[in-house]
Amino acid sequence: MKEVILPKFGFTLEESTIVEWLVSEGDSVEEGDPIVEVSTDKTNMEVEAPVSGIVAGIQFGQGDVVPVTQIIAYILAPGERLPEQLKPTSAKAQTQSQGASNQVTGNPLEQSMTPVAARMVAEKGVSPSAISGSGQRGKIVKSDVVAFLAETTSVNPKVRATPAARRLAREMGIDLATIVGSGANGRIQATDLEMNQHRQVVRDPEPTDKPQAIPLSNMRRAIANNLQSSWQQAPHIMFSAEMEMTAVLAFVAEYDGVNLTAVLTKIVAWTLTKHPAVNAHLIENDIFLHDDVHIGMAVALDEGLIVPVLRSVNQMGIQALTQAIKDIASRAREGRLRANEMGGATFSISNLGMYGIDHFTAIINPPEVGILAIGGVRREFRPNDDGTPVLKSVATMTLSVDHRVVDGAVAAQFMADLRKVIAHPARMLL
Amino acid sequence: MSNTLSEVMELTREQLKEMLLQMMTIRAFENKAQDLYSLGKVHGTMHLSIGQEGTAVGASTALTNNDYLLNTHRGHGHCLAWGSDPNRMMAEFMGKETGYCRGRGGSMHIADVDSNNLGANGIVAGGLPISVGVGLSIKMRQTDQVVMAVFGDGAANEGAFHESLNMASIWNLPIVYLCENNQYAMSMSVKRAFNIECISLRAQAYNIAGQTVDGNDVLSVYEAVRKAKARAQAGEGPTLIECLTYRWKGHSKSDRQLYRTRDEVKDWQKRDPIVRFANYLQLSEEAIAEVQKEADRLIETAVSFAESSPEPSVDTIMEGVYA
Amino acid sequence: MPNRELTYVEAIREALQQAMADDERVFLIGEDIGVYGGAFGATAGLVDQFGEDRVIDTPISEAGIAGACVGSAVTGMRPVGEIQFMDFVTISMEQLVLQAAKMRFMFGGKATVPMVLRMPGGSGTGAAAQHSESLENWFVHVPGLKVVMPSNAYDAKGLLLAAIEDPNPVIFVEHKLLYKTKAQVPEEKYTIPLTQTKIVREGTDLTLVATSIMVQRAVEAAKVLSEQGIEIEIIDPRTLNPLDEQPIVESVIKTGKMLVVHEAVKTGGFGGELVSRIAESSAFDYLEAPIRRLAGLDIPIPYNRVLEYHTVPQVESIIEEAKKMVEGAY
Repeated sequence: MKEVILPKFGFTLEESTIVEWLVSEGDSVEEGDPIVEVSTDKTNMEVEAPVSGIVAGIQFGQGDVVPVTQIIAYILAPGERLPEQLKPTSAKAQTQSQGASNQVTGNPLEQSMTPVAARMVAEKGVSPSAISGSGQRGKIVKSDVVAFLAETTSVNPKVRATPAARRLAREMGIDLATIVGSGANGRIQATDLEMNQHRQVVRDPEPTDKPQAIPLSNMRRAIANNLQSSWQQAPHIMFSAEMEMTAVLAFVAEYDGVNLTAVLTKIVAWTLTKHPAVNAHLIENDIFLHDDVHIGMAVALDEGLIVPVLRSVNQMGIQALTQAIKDIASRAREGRLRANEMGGATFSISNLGMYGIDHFTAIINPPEVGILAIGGVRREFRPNDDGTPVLKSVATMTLSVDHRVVDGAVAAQFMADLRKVIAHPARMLL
Repeated sequence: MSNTLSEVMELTREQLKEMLLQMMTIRAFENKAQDLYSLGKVHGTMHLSIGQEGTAVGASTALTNNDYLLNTHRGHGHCLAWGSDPNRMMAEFMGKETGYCRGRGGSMHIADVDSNNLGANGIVAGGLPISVGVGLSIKMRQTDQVVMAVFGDGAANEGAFHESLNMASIWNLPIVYLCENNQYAMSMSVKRAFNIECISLRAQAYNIAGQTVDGNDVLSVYEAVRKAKARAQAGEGPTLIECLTYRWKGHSKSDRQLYRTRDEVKDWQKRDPIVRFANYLQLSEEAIAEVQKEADRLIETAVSFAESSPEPSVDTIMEGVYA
Repeated sequence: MPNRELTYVEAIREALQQAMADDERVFLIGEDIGVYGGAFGATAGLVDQFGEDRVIDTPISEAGIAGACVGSAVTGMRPVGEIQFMDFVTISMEQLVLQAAKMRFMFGGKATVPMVLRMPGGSGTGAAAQHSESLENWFVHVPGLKVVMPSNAYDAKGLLLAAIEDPNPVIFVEHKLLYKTKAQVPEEKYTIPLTQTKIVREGTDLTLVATSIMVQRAVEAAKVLSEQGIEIEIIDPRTLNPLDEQPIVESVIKTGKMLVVHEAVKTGGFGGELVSRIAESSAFDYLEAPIRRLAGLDIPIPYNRVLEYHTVPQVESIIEEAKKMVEGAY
């Protein structure tokens, strides 16, 4: 007796369907005769009789799907009989069909989600029952989970950052959403994190008795290099003048939404438009005069100086300017400045009046050629026109200019004009 | 084509019986291969040479393991005839670590470089350009070896056939080109693929020796290859030998064989090279059964060896890409 | 002899000559390599020294040349084949990809195929689409083959001698425009190990990885950039596969930016592989900009000289791209 098996016909074949038996039980066949036609994933094939003999014990009928290498029939030698247990029974057929239906039903839970969806659900700790599936037979697919998560969780907006910045943020435990990017399209670069890092270190110094060596942060190093080269390369000349502040203080008191810094900044900008030589850049051997006035506002941070830029101050109203100054100063302190707010000033102002400083000088930020240092407002007795002492509000302001570009007389004329406008702000309307 | 066999005087009775054993071993191997494949014990694809045992055994008997063999995808027979160990072949067939190629090659790439068997080839005509290099190497090293490049009728229509035979001819290389014309390149019959009487005619185009022999007559194949080797060793260059034979089985296991008739197959089966050789040897039925038993025993041993052999370890997967 | 300068093609010829003189197994095979001296003169004069049996002129049979190398290598010889133009290697692909590359692995680690196949690639000679190909990445994609692309005469000699000594099939890709470029080349025999990446120039602002002639163009570009205060680091992998990637990873960690420059068309080119290696490596976390590729346009090489010039990276386009990357344009 020889078994007829369903052969594996090709590389990938796992099962075939019985198309038609070409012989019946009891037929005699010769080795190599085709006995049954089966259909594979590719085509129809004939199964040949492995030996000569009598066909017996056909195990599968037309249409049955049979895994390869299964016995599908037997070939008996003449006179041989098929043992009883090898005859196909209806019970066997039943078992098979049961097995098949089990497979289809499966575990309802496993059936209800795609593998990706299942992984996402597990990762996010979401209950699958809360998600409605849009796949076949209500199967939960990836997009269902994504939609669910979008609804139920507040999604962080995508932060643009380089891989290097992301690594630093991870290492430093910083939320990238709090960082201002200086790269292309505002992308956060590693250097932006390094600036921030220094901020963190100085804000929360470790309590210690010994003097602590704090390495220069990139920011501090940039400040140091900039100031040093400015001081070494630009011959500074300075001009101090006492300003009569009564009128501007009255102006600030009279109007809502304006502050002194904004008024002074506006006046400085106006005066600069009259003195383009001071509103200039010196780059290598060329002087660039600017029509617009972009004022760098020196803001003292714990770890150093930062000079964010207010653009086109000459074109701004004082209320808007007040808002802009408050906004930029607070964002500078929070480290949330935008890249285009970090450079491009044509003139700078440093105001230390709030610290009770009467008079100080400032170093120019190249390539600018001038900076104005504003001291605090003091109440002083000053003689009026007839020599009687009168209590006045005054402040001392000191202009530093780069003598390579700005001559003393030009600077003095600027200060003189500034003085007039501060004393009589209405001059700006002339 | 007659069913008598040519007389060969050089071979002893023992050698002749050994040749019969080899032929029967090849057929037993192929039958077993078919069974194992059907049972799913081996995978991939395989190409059986049942019906072509005469060419394999005839050709290799004329050569030694000092010569070189370049084999084809239908190469089990040539490999066994070359003297390869059925155990290691079967192990390779099953993808085992103990196989000739550590389970990396499989049926189509069985090689035994140590015995100058440079391997079966999955590419039709793939071995032909290589034969030029081996021939050059023999010539430059000034040994008396020859290389036998086996290929099918299909390979004779590849461009590489032309490049190789031409180079072999102009440089007078010691190469035996053994074309097994088994009548079909997969489904393409020789009648449809060639417009010449016989493939060996092409030898004339390269001005080399050419001959067509009855591939189912193991002794005439032997004689042709023996003479070709002598010619090569005498510095007379390559020979193109065409062996007319027939593949009894489909091209591979997924072949419905719609391109030929059952009658044609049965007709060729009447010219079974094993039966013809056994008749020629005038052996008794018992004696033949004895040889058959030995062949079956060799293959059963090979299967046990292969089945009990270890699978290659995945840890070694990267080995052997570079020397 | 100090300060001895050789051209790239002379360096290759000297390597072949020295290898043949030292090892009888080494022989040359190819089209017109005998009295003609090779289409680009690489083998000029060698037939006079070594004879026609070791400098073998073949018919126009590229599959045959490759097969002759495979068969002789696997039986103990050290063939060095020449494919006249890299374009024609398409005819040899079966022997290289399916035979030479796979034999050792397929036969369970037993056969060795110590062959070298030299071929000049690249555009710039006005030879149009079928004589200007840069197909190196086809071979990079095939395990079992080594792919070497020397960018200068010194490397050409040392790498070719190493390739001939290597027990594996080596695809040795020369560049037609480099043949006449000069470098200091020691007279004695020396080898440069395969799979050894070279830092050609150190820099801090950008890692530029280039192959073959693009290394020389990158060096030219670097000079101009340096005058503008931009210092790029230039890396030449020299062996494309197997690749020595660590120096590239370290460089990108240092500079945070990477530009790949090669002549072959961008799509499916070696740059894609390099970029992926970096994206997968520890250098990823140090990237400060998207990695960029400057490569041949996705077109066949045009005949017209102006079109041809603009098809592949030139010094100017390298300068422009490097500058944009350093200045944060991406």
